[in-house]
Amino acid sequence: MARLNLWRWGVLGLAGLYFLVPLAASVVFTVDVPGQGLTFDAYTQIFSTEGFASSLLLSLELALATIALVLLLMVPAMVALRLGAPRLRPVVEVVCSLPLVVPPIAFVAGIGTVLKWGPEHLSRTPLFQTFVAIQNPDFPFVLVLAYVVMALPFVHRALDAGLRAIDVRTLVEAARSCGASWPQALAQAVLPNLRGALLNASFLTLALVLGEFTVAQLLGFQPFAVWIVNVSGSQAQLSVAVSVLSLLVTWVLLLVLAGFGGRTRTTSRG
Amino acid sequence: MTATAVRVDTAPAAAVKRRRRSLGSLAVVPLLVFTALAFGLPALAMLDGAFTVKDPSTGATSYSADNLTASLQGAYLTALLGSVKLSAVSAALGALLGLPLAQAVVTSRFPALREAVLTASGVLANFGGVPLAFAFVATLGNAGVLTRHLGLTDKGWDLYSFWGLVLVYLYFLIPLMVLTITPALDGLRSQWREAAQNNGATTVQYWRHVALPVLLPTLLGGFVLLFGSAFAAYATAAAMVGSSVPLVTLQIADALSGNVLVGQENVALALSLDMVLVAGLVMAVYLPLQRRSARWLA
Amino acid sequence: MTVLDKTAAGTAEDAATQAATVEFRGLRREFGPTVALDGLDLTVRPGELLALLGPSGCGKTTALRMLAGFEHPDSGAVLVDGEDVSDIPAHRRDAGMVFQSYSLFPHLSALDNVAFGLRMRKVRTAERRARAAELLELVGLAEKGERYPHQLSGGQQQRIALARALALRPRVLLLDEPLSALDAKVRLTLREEIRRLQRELGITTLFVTHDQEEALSMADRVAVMRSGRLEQCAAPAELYGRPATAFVAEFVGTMSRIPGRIVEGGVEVLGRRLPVDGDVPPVTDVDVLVRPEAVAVRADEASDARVVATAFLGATTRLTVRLADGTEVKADLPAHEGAALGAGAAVSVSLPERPVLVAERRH
Repeated sequence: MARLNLWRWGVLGLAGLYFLVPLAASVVFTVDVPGQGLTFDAYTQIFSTEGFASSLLLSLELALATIALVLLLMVPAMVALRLGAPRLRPVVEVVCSLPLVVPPIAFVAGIGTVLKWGPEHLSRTPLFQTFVAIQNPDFPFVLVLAYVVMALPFVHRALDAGLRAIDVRTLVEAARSCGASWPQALAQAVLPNLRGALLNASFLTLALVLGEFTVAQLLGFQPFAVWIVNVSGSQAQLSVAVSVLSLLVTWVLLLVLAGFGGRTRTTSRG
Repeated sequence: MTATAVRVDTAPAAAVKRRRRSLGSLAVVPLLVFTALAFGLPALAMLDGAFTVKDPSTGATSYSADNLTASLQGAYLTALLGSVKLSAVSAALGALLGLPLAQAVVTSRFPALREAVLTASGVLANFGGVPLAFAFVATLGNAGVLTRHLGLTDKGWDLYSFWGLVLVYLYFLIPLMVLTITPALDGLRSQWREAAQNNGATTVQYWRHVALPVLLPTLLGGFVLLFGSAFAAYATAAAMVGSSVPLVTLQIADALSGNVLVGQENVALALSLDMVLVAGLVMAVYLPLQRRSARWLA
Repeated sequence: MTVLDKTAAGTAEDAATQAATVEFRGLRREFGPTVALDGLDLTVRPGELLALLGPSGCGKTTALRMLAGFEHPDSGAVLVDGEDVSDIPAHRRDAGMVFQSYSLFPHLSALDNVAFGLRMRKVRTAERRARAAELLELVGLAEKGERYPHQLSGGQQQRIALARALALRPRVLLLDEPLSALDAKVRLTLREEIRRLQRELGITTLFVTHDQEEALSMADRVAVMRSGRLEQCAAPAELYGRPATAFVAEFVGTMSRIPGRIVEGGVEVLGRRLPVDGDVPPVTDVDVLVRPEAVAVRADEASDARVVATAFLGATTRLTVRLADGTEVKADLPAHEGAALGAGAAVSVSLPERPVLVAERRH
């Protein structure tokens, strides 16, 4: 038994070393600048640095739009699959796993090609205006489209887990037999029971959008992750400070969520 | 009397069922239409572009496999192979190191430790990217804290080398492995260990004859998943500017933005197609393994 | 004689002569604040099937797992044929165990599951396949050897588990609620099957269960446990007919409590004086414990007692009668007599002229 514990603590210790040292070293890196000694400039400068607020705001807006759109698309579809269209289930499953087969960089290569059709073939049609509109640098809706696709696998997994834990059909039938209309049954009986899954899906999507770099950079927009990279050339300390902060914030957010999810999971298992 | 009652009952029931089914299909339609546009269109564009060749003098386009051929030659081939090698090595290491860590977490008696490790794994495995690269640059880059304090450059250390990238990739691959294998380890029933002991098996024999064979599909599946994840990674490598390791994702990005040569967009699309094929292969191996382990460990 | 020799020679007759005696001596085990075993003393005779019966948490499974080597006592000892086995690791205990459920290795066929132990002992392939096939035949699944656990029903899986437990010709067979995860029908057939096999092999067997009917119908002797201690160990008939304690009386079978008063030479209950069986508690106000089949009920318009519920059980009907003082008594009547007495009927209740058990009154 003692030997077993020794082994476990050895493994956990080594893992802790590997995973914590870069974080700790990053903190040291940001406050202990060669030639300047101990300084917290990197942190105090964050807010005043050109582009921080606007890029973070853009990322948050994109995240909200993505969450809204992906839930609007997925929740009705997933609930409907449980209720009345089981034959479409494999179809949706495949559709939601496809983004896993296409790496983001390949995906963005395809998007870039489609966007180029605008000026090349459609310049005389009203569709052209749409192409211009979704590439508005103030709010590039094309990124929302891409992020919704990229979030599909995560959202599908989260919602599927949530729906698996409850018996949607019985819930709806019970609500209906108590006199609820269809929309009432869904809103009052099904959605409240999916709260954990919806929160989970939203947070995963939020984290995905906040950290996304590939698509945004290659399409030439500047949300948060791209801004960090762009600013790193001139202000190395600052970019590391923001990186570490963003990692920690995501982690804490998800940990809070896991607290929620953990409780619902144990109750549904019992 | 009963017969008619039944008949009267079934007719509306069938209608309700039909209506419900069509309503159900209706709710799925927006999702399918959306993916067809937002995902299908770019995918088709990629496929189309990968096979399209543009004559520079006339501007006329024609279909051919030239781009694909080009994408499997010279610097592109080197990059593709470099990506495969980096992904294979770091996936193998990630799988081997993730297993004992997951086992240590699963057998721990502290639920808080387990929750913290799994959540951290979720963050690092999926959303590391840029922050991760900068953390390593700050730690082990040329001006990194450890590099300076330990004088690692003199000892031949270079973060921007093959093994440097492996070290960075492991930072999100090990967590991904932990996430993948934890449910399987949870699924290993205590009865199996006890039944094995009861049949005269030592601890080593139990792992050799029961635990590892039962975990094998998950382990292989995990390796394949890690491979796919490492293969697709771009942000980490891109943020670590100055990497001398040729990677297919970097090549695609360069070709797309016309960094190296103008007019290479279609080769980039062909390279993307190569990547999709590799990733598709990964999934084709992963899914059956996943299904088998789900059956054993349910 | 090594295990392998036994494997090769093994026939029912010599197994019976080798059957082991198992003794638990003063076993104690605490898990944090809960006491799982609180000084358990019990002896299992060679070749008998002994059922460990008790409510969940009474320590019966812990005792079994100590014999298998999965748990270790804080104090006390487990003896097999007079030898202390406490220091022998689980994989050399020589005790075959059948678990509650899901214990088959999912990646091995039924045959390979049964042959697993022989493989661990490095028995040659041909020999162990032959032996495993023999065991599959013994549990009636000769033709299912190539199936995997997920292709077998719950009952079939437990038969395979039984065959696997017997593969190394253990000296003791341990059954840890092997039937509790099965359907009622399958449970009945498998019950008989296990009993038949155990008799044929003459192997000393411990059977843990919380189902008293299972224990009474299968076991040679039943040990009733409560809070880590042995309450009574006796043959089923004796346990049912002459329970040593009020706990046993009420845990095994159905018992009604009727208030009575200790008087000179017996107990006064339902207006008559009956002799007391067993110990008399040092108080006057007691409860008399009666089985439903011992209670006589007849229609009596003059009585204050009323039938409050009836349950048709096939050959008998079980009546629940509320006496004038509010006490409820259960009584079994032949179905044709019971049919005449519906809920609300006025009846009188009486006991036969036989010694009765008494217990301190419960409040």
